[in-house]
Amino acid sequence: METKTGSNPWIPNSTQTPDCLFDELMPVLEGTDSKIMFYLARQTFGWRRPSCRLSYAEFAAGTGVDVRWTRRRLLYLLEVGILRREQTRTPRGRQYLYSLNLEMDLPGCIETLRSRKIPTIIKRVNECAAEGNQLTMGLETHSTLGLDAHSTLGLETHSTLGLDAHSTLGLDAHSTLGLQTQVKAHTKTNKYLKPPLAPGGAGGTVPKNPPAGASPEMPAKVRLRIEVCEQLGIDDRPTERAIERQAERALRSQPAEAIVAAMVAQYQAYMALNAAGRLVFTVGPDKFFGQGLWHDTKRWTVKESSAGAASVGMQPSGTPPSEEEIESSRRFFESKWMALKSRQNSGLQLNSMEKSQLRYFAEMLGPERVTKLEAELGRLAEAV
Amino acid sequence: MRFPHPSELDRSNSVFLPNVVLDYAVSPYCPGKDAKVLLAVADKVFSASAGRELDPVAVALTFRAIGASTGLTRGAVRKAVARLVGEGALCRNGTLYTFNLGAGPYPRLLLQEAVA
Repeated sequence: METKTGSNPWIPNSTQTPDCLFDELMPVLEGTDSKIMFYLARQTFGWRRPSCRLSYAEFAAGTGVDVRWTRRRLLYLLEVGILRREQTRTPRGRQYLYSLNLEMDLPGCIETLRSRKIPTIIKRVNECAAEGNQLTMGLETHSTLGLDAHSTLGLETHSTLGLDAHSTLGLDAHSTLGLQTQVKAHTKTNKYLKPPLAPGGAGGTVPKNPPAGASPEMPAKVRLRIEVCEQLGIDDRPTERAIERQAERALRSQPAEAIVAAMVAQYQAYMALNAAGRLVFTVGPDKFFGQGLWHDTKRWTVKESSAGAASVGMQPSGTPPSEEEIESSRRFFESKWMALKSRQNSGLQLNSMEKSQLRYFAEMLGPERVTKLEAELGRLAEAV
Repeated sequence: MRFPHPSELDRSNSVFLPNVVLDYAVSPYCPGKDAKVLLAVADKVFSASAGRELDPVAVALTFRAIGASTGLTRGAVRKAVARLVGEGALCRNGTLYTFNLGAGPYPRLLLQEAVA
């Protein structure tokens, strides 16, 4: 394009750049992402070509960004849908043709970019608020928020607290929130979130783990995870993620019902062995599912023989349990149950494995024995 | 709202930016925030000069307005503008911003690099 001052060598040609890059995308993109996007615009629009063959190293050299970081940001922009690339095979190997995605859904892209700029802790708070869970994890360790274990924030993406994408919570260490427990669910962020709690719980307690079943529109792995977690009483996120991952793999070859049954049965058997002291090494439920121990019993480090095995159905074949062994395992269950129950009564938080153990011991001991032990614990507490 | 196809680009939905400005903005010499500020100002300046291609006019801008275009805070915009003016990439007189494309190399740093 000729300029009016064409004789001046310091006013060269120009690049026709769409306004929406400036008006819509630049405010929501990071600096590096903007540079990569405009670099590609310069290489395509600036040379009047629809796409351009570029390598990560060329992007990095052109923008001054580290190659690995360039690769990550490029993949991010491709995932969001701002850029597009086509793979071509040449005698020199695999190459990519990059271009701006002209068919991109701009409002959708902008919404995605805005939601991804929200700090992780706020997303977690949103999830907790939407699920109605008490915020007992995460906040205490991360934050200087002063949130106690029973508070629920009700933070939304565009929340009344003014926590936007740019603020780092905006709450300093000395601020006290005084937030009431009017939970507002931001259901747009996740279609699988449970429905918001009914108002009226201001200042009161929010029921933990509200009942919510799997609905048909959920993916199979999510339904399976919910079912397994409900049956086993698991409520921690790492284990849930591990179950989902395993479910995704197992669903390729097995029906969902069989996987649920196998997971539940194997976990209960593992817990029984653990309770009977027959495991050399024990792992938590997240690793039990995450490392695939649930379908590979050979990797369980079981001791050769133990006294507690009789009552949990893991006795080696051909050796019926003796009275002494049964009595020994009963005493073991009682002592373990009392230790866990006293911890729970004193207000300490039990993790999911301990909760499962507590339930298992109670089942093994029977309701009558449990009632007696509870009474005994009550007497001990009064004496103390 | 959709992305215009290159064949549909016209003055109503696009802006002609001088290649030197765009090249400098994406170059390794220009940090990401500075690039955003520079491009936001360039968009305003060269949109206002429509009809007189690449003839920069002075436009009045505030830090707040630039911040709204870039998603940066006012403080970040202020610092970026100071750096860009120091580099010679941007001309500022009070609240008036423009580009000095005709007076010499753009910006000064590129000439230094070329000489070195």
